[in-house]
Parts: sequence; structure tokens; C-alpha cells
Amino acid sequence: MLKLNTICLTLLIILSLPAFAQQGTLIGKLTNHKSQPIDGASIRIAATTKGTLTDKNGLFFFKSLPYGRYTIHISAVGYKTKELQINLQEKLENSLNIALTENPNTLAEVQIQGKTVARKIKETGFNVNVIETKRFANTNTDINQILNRSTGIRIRQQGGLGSNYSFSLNGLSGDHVKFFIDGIPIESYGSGMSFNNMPVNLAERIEVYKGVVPAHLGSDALGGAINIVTNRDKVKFIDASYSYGSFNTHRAALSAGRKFNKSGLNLNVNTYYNYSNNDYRMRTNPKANIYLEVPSKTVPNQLDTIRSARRFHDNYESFMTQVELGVHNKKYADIAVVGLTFNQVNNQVQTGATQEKVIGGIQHSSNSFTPSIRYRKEHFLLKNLSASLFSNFSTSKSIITDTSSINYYYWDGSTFGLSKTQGELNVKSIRHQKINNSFSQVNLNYQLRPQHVFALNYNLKTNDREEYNEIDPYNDTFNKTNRITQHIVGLNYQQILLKGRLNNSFFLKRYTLAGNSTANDNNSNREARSYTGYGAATNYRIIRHGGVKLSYEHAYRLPSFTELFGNGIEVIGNPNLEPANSDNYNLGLYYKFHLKDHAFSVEASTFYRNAKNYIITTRYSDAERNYSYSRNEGGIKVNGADFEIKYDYKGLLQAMVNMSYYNAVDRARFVEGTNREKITYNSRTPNEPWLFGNADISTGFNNLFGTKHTRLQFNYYLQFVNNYSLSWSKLGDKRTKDYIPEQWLHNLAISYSLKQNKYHITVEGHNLSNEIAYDVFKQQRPGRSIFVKLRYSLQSFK
Amino acid sequence: MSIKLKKHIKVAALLACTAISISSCNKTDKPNDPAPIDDKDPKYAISYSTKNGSFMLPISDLMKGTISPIGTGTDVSSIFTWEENRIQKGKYFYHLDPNASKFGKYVLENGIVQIIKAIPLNTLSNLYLGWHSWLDEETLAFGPRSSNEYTIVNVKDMTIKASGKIDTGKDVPKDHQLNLYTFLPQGNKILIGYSLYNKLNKVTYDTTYTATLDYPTFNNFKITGKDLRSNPIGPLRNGYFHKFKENGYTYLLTYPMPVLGGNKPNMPTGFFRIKDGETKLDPEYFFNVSKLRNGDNQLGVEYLGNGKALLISANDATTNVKEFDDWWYAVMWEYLIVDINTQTIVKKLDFPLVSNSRSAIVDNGKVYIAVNDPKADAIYIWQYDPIKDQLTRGAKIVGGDNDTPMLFKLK
Repeated sequence: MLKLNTICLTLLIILSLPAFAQQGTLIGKLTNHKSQPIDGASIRIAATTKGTLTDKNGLFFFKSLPYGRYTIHISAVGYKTKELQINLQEKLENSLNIALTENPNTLAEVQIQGKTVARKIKETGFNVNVIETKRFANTNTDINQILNRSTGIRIRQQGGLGSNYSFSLNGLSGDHVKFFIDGIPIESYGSGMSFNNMPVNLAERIEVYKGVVPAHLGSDALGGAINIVTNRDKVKFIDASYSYGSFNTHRAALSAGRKFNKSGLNLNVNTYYNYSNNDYRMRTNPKANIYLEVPSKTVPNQLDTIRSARRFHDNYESFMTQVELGVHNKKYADIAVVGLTFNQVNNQVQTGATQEKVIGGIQHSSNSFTPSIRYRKEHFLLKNLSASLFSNFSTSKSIITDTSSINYYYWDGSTFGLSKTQGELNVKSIRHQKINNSFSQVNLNYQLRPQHVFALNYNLKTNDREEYNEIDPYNDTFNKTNRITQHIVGLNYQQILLKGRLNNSFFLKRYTLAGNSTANDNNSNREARSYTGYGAATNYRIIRHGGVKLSYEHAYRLPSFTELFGNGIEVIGNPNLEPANSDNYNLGLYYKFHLKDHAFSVEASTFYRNAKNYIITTRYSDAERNYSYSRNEGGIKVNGADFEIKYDYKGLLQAMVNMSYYNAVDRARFVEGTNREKITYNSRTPNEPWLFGNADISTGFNNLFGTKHTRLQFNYYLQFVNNYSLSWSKLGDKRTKDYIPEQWLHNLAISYSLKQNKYHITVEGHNLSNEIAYDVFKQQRPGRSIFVKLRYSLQSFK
Repeated sequence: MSIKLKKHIKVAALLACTAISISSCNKTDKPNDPAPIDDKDPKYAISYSTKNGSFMLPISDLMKGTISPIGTGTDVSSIFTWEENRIQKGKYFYHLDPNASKFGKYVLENGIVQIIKAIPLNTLSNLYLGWHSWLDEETLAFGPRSSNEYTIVNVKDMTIKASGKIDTGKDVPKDHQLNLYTFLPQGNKILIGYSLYNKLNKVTYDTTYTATLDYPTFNNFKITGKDLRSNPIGPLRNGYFHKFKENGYTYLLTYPMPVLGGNKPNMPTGFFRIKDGETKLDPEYFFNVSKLRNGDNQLGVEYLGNGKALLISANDATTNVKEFDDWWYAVMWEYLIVDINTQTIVKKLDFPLVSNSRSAIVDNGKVYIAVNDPKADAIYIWQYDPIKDQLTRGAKIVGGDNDTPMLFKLK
């Protein structure tokens, strides 16, 4: 790692060489009518390419400005635009104090707040993508589809709406990436809460932390974390939408909030409903070595290949509603609310792990109830101490029914074989699972000085699970009970130095895991373990709009209780299991510039991960018995890079292009516990896309054809995934290798907005060229599809 | 978008990414390059599992070089999904896929495994095979473990010729089931060896039965003999060597051990024999191998000719087998050469105790064994020359795990 550190340091030194300043400097401060600083306002000097944004103290400055007369444009969302004439002269104090007046007709507060939070996050040294979801609000997308456009992220989904997915972030995937909603781990909301069905309209922004995760997201994330920040605690806000489209897909979402200032009450509602038949066409595709074989209708006991068939057992339905009621701006609390979340998912299962296994009878349904409380107070006990608290308890029930007597289904819906005892995946069962989760979180923030902030975070998670088979309740195979408790303490210190140019964070995380398992023979197991993780992140702004970010974390993924101690039945415990750990490094560069009316923003980053002691679960199956056992094994080394370029022309045309690349290789030279060299040593890990990118172009026109307060917006979005191998690409003769072909998916959306962005109608086409695209284990994705979305939105702060 | 343009974009993007990517780990030596393989016309093949899938590789020379799946062979993990269900004849391989209920014909040619044809197979209620038997060059019979079902397939055109349950008439009570372990074609008769399972109390009796049936009608079931010396008369799982012909006799190895066999821990492993044309076991002959090995059980590996057979023998299973899995993975096996005429152990091959194995090939009077010693840096092929009584280490097979490697002679 010495090499990496040296390179980083050299880069830092080179980039920090001082720029020559030979001319005058203009310094200014921007405030509102209450003399409070305005953060994030745009300051542009007319007839030049120079522009800047104010910092959180409302300050801005221009260096190297030749003396002379200038016109300065000042604009901030929520304020009236202002123009100023100045004369920059030698020996004069070239500093300005400018006050802006609020514009009551705009949505000032929220937008400034949103921008501020997003910018504050970006100003830390973390390698983070902050996606403001506003621009996707009119589209028929869920959170996953938006994340898929972001650098470093690849979501591989098995099929249509609601289908299983696998998330990869900079080459680390599965359990190694953790998900949060408003800083709360998603699993604490019970089963069914998932990014694959959550409509975009519920989220205000999405934060993607790559490799290095701040301490306030208290979880064991080895490869990074995703945090969805929802709309809430607004004065008056409503966003309602409904869309209908291909495969009989219906999606409705409502997100609303209201603060009653007189009574101090406030109410937040988030709800959605999704339904789809997902009956898109599956196709034979010799290019990908896919053939849909069905029993011949003419010759008995033979198979015929058909060109295509519709999926026939893939209905999906999900419903979620979350209501929060409470008070705000009281002496004892800035916000104190109680909430209730309900979630229901019903879905049919169409395939096994690969599309060769067709399923026609298995159903899955689950629901969960989650009551919660949330409290926040600035100046808690001390003047500079703020506190927030969250706690919830979820009860989830899920039922998987596998009682079809039919042994095999084919893609044309025909069947084959009957069995009295066998279901499609295992012996016939109606498997009930009951999971209780509790989660509590306390955050304390102490600001010693504005430049020095300490944060302490404590998370307590408990999880217990019971299972049984309704058909055969006395069969112990499905009976198990176990309970796990997880404590995570995080400590973060943030310092802002050199007048805001240097932003450092240092953090420490302590994980403790304790558990208790009771098997059918009433034997109990109790154990506890602790581990410590740590890291740091720094952002150094070298020039006005450009800088460098560095971050590091020694991160953990803890073994689960079942992995450690077994469940007494088919999972054999391994008490010697160590947590998987990874040393994650990020180096990022960012730069923004204007060329007349053309604004560019460039971000590029490179990263290295050294993930050791991967927890691998091996499944042994036999006609007599099925069981699994987890062990530590090798791990991977990943290095890679990504970049994103954004372009804006006078706010009329926006374009974005990004590309991500990584190389994840097996890092262990020998098979664990032997002196046998691994055949995959230093080879790229299979079944994961390693080169992918996105391009996005938007343009819009206001008040077309003489209409008032309308806007027509076009968006074209291209998704590219390079081909990749299903198995270790070096192993086996090249002629036998199966690749997932490269994909170029074209998507188009046209939106028409009326009455000052209150009403919207959008027509959207996905996969316009009807390309046969595949994902995880070569599961075919939907072909061309069309959706229409209607949306009503209103925000007011009065 | 044109293909050319797409390529340019990809190359440019890759370059851009690579340019800012930092290679921060030291390059380490690549694994040894494998020896070149004459994959046009391989004479042998090996199939073995690794941590990263099962591979079938052609071998042109058993005694030299390194055999590695890097760049050669076929990943057969999704082709031969249940290894015990694979049946070989020359360069052709047949496999019943229990997950897809398909019976497929494959060929290993030009160094790779290719599918010839697959048919749906719905004639068996259990798709984990217990036995197979060639009725002639193109007719294959097979059936599930511990079952009275059979299916006969013409493998030339891949059609199902016959299938059903063996009709025992009134000779077996209705609450009992015949479980078949030996299936021997004898002219227009089929001679079967079986055990009897009591469905009421779920007990399999110790008696080994023989019976005859008419072929191809499968009528006229007649019990021809009973024997209590060992049971069952054949392996529980398909793919284990258990019969050979010599000097007018068919020799049949019994499989009484738990897990890998019929679970009769108190019975010995040994050879029965049947004279050609006879319909019952030779009452005068039983070669009790277990008795010579302190009561431990054996598995069949290969017939070597001249009355010799290669077996693999558990060493002190009572101590070494602590759990179910140990029957497969405990390092407790030794190779024995036995003489069925003198009923003696001719030789214990000079290897340390190794992992379970059941595969060897015989070529030009020499036997080649894929020996999986977990302490060694790889699986090695060893040649045993019975005339010179000499063991020689041959080709190295890299990447194998603790499962049994299988060797095949393709011509």
C-alpha cells in the first residue's frame, strides 16, 4: 500500500501548488433580510467566464480579477435575483456586503435546505454520490433504477417489477453493501421493504457512500452504504402520482407532509402501491446460447425449441404506507413524532436461480408492522449539543408456499411429472417465518467550535426468528428459533480548517455481537464478540472549484449469529468464523468550470479494496440431507476507477456521461488450509459486470405555443454494460465459455408540466430497441415497454 | 449506434478509466502454464471438482506434465449436475439431470464436452440413479437408488424403449418392495440381484435375493436364490465399480457400508459370483475381503485382469468416521489389490492414507489412479505396473478439492 499512499501524497502536493495571483481580489458576503448568511448562491460576473457559489457563511471571492468595472449577477433559489455594478480598483477595499430579499413565490426553503445538505455531504472527504431525485420525479422509476445510473453501482435484477436483485458497489456486492432509509437500516423495517419497489417520489435524495461509510450510519458495511432520505417535516407538501404501462403494471405513490404552526402539530404520510403481471416475452437467443425447450407436441419424449413465450407466473403486488404524527418547535423537542409503517408483498415465483428452472406454483407473501418514535432537539442540555433518537419495532410474517404436485414446468406453461410428496423446489411445504426486529439509535452532535464537531452514534439491533412448516409442523427441519443482538458505537470527529478549504473526518466504530440459539432439542448457545473498525476522510479544495478527496476505512462485515453458532438443524455453526474485513481506499478529484454559457462539472475517482476473510457459505446437498456451513476464505482485491462529466447550457440543456470500471481478482494464492494453489488466483471474479456506463441528455421548453406556466421536457437515457463471463473466464476452453452479451439500452421520456409544475404527464419508453438483455446468471430482463405517468405536486412554506 | 462507434466509445472509456486507475498491488507469478494437450484426439480424460466448479479435461499423456483447467477443458458443473448420474461409453457420456428431468447424450471431442441431444425423462419417480447396465452397444438400462423402477433407452436415437416397475407377481408381498442392486443381461433373460424392503416397519432384510425375468417383456418373475452372507449385492449409488467377468463367471462386489452402501454395518464387503448360464449365486464362493481388513469395508475401483481387482479400503472407520460426511471426506482410505481366485490381498499400494476414490483406468496392463492426498500440492496420477510391481508418479492435476477425481479412457 506504500505505493498508493505515495501516489496520493504526490498528487496532493502537485495539486496544492499555489496559483499565481497578480491582480485584484473581490470578496463579498451574502445575507438575507435577517442578516443570516445565504449558502449556495450563484455569483457570476457578466461578460466573463467567472462564476462561483457562496459558502455556508455566505462568503464568496474572486481572485486574479483585472481592475475595472463589472456587473455581478447574484441568484439564489427562493430569493429575488440581483444585479450589481462594481468598480474594482487598486488600494480600495474590494469587499461587498449584499442583502437579498426573499421571493415568496418560489420554493426557497426546501430547495436551499436540500442543496445545503447535499453540498455539505459532498464537502466532506467521503467518496459519496449524492443524487437529488427531483429531476426523476416525473419518471416511472424506482430507487434501484436511479441508483443504476450512478457511477460505481451495478444492480443486477432477475426480472421485472419487484424481482430479486443483487447490488454491487465498486466490486463488492451482496451482504457487503448495506442499505438505510433516513439513516435507519432497511432491514429494521421488516421484510418487504426494498429499493426494487420504492417509487422515486418518496425520496428527496439518495446518498451513496463508496467503501468508506461515516460513523452515523451504524452498520457493518464492508463495501459501502446507500442511504435514502425521504420527504418529511415540510410545511406543506404533497406529491401524488399514478402510472400505468406494459405488462399491466400499475404504480401509485403519495408523499405528503403538513406542519400546523399554530398548534405545533405535524403529519407526514408516505405510501405506495405496485402491481404488475411481469408477463414479458422470454426469447430463444442463439447469440447468448439460450434455447427455450418445451416438450414436443408431435413426437413423444422429445424436446422442441420455441422462439418465445410469455412469462406466466410472475405477478407481483406490493403496498407500503407510513404515517407519522407529532409535534415540532416545542421547548422539549424540535421534532417528536410517532409513526407506523405497514408493508405487504405478494408475489409469484417464476424461475429458480437461473431461467432454465421454470417455476409455476410457488407463491411468496409477507407483511410487516413497524411502530416507531423519532425525536430531535438542538441545544440539548448544552448549547452546542444536538440530539436525535429513533426507535422502532417490526414484526414480519412471511409464507412461502411450495405445494404444487407438478415436478417440472416449461416456458410454454406445459408441465411434466406429478409427485405426491415433492414440491417444485423441495418436499411440499408451507413455510412460515416470523421475524421480530428492534432497532434503536441515538445520535449526539457536539460543536466545540464551528470548525470542530464531534458526533457519537449508538445503535442497538435485536433480531429473532422462528420458522415452521404448516404441512408438517412436527418435522423439525423447518423449526428453529434464534436471537441476535448487535451493538454498534460510532465516534466521529470532523474538522474544517483553512477557511473551509480542508475538511477532515476521523471515525471509530465498535461492533459487538451477542446471540442465543435454541434448536429443537432445546440446547441453547450463547456467545458475544467485539470488533473495532476505523477510518478517515479528507477533502482539500485546492482551487475555487476543484479539489481532491481521500478516504480510508478498515471495514467489517460481521458473521451472522447463524453462521457462527448454527441453527441446530441444517446450518452447522462455525464458532471460529472471523468477520470479513476490508481495507478500502478512495482518491477523488473534482473540478467545475464555465466556458461562457457552458457549465461543466467533472468528477473522477479511483479506488482500491483489499477484502479478506470472505465468509463463504457452502451448501451440501444430498438425496438424504441438505445442510450448509460457513467458513472464511481468501477474499478479493479490487481496483478501479470511475468518472462523471456533467454539462449545462444556460439551464436549457443538460447532459451527463459516466463510466465505471473495476477489476476484482481473487487475492488468495492457496486453497484455505492446504498447500494447493488456487486456479483462480489473480483471476477476475465472474458473473459481475466490470465495465459499464450511462449517458443522459435532457432539454426542455417553457411556455410553448403561447401557453402559460407550462414546460415540455425531453430526456434520453442510454445504459451500457459490457459483456461479462458467467463463470471464471480463464477456466475452461474458450469455445465452451458462456458470456452475457454486451447491452445498449435506450430509454426516452417526454414530460409535459402545467400550472407552474403542479401537474405533470409523462410518456416513457424503456429498452426502445427491444434488445434481449440479461442479468444475474443470464436471467432475461423485460423487452421494450411503455408507461404513462400522471403526477400532481405542490410545495408551500407559508 | 454503429458497432464501430460503440467500440471506440468503449475503448476510450476503458482508457480513460485505466489512465486514472492505480494499480496498487504487486504482480505475482502466474500459475504454471499447463502442458500442451493434444486436444484433437485425446485418449483419456479426467473429471474433477475444484472450488470453482467441476471440470472435464482431455489428457493425452497420463505420465507427464501439468493438467489444469486454465484455458482448457469444459466446466461441467451445469452439464453433469449430479456426478453419480453420469454414465460413460467410450467418448460418449450420458447424464440424467435430476434438476431438469432431462436425459442427455454428450461427446468429449476436440477437447471439449458438447451436447448431442437431450430428452425429457419422466419414467422414474426418483432421479438419483442407483445402477445402470448396458444390454448391448446402444441399449442402456438404469434405475434409481433403492427402487424397483427401471428405464431402458436406445442411446443411438435417444428414445425410451421401455420403463416401469419390476412386476414381482405374487412372489413378493404387497407391503414389501424389491430394491434392485444388480442387473445382468443373460441371453433372453435378465438376472437381477435385490434386497427386500418391508414398507410397514421400514426395514430392509439382510437376505440377498436373485431372480430372473424375460427380456424384453419383463414378465415371468422367478426368485432363483437367497443368500445371507452379505448384502446388498451392488452399490447404493450409480457409478461405483462392482462387477466384472472372468473365466465364465461374473463377480459381484457387495456394498454393506453405511452412507456409501446399503447400511448393513455388521455384514462384510466381499465378492459373490455367478457362473454363466446359472441363475443363482455360487453357494461355494464368497471372498470375504472385510475379514482380511479387520472388519473394515471396501469400495470397488477397477478390474485389472487375471483375477485381480483394485479396491479402496477404509482404515479403521470406527475411529475415523465421526459424522455422516466423514464417509466422503475423512482421510482414511488405502488402495488394495485383491486376487479373487486365491481370495487374498496381493498388495497394499504404498500411499499415505488418502481421500475417498473410486476411479482408475487400465491400459496396456498398467493401472492409472488419480490419487488425492490432501497433504500433496495437487492430485497426481500414479501408474502401477503389476508385472514390475512398481509405482510411478505421473501427471499433476492442479486445483482439485477433496472430492473424488474420475479418470476415463475414451478409446
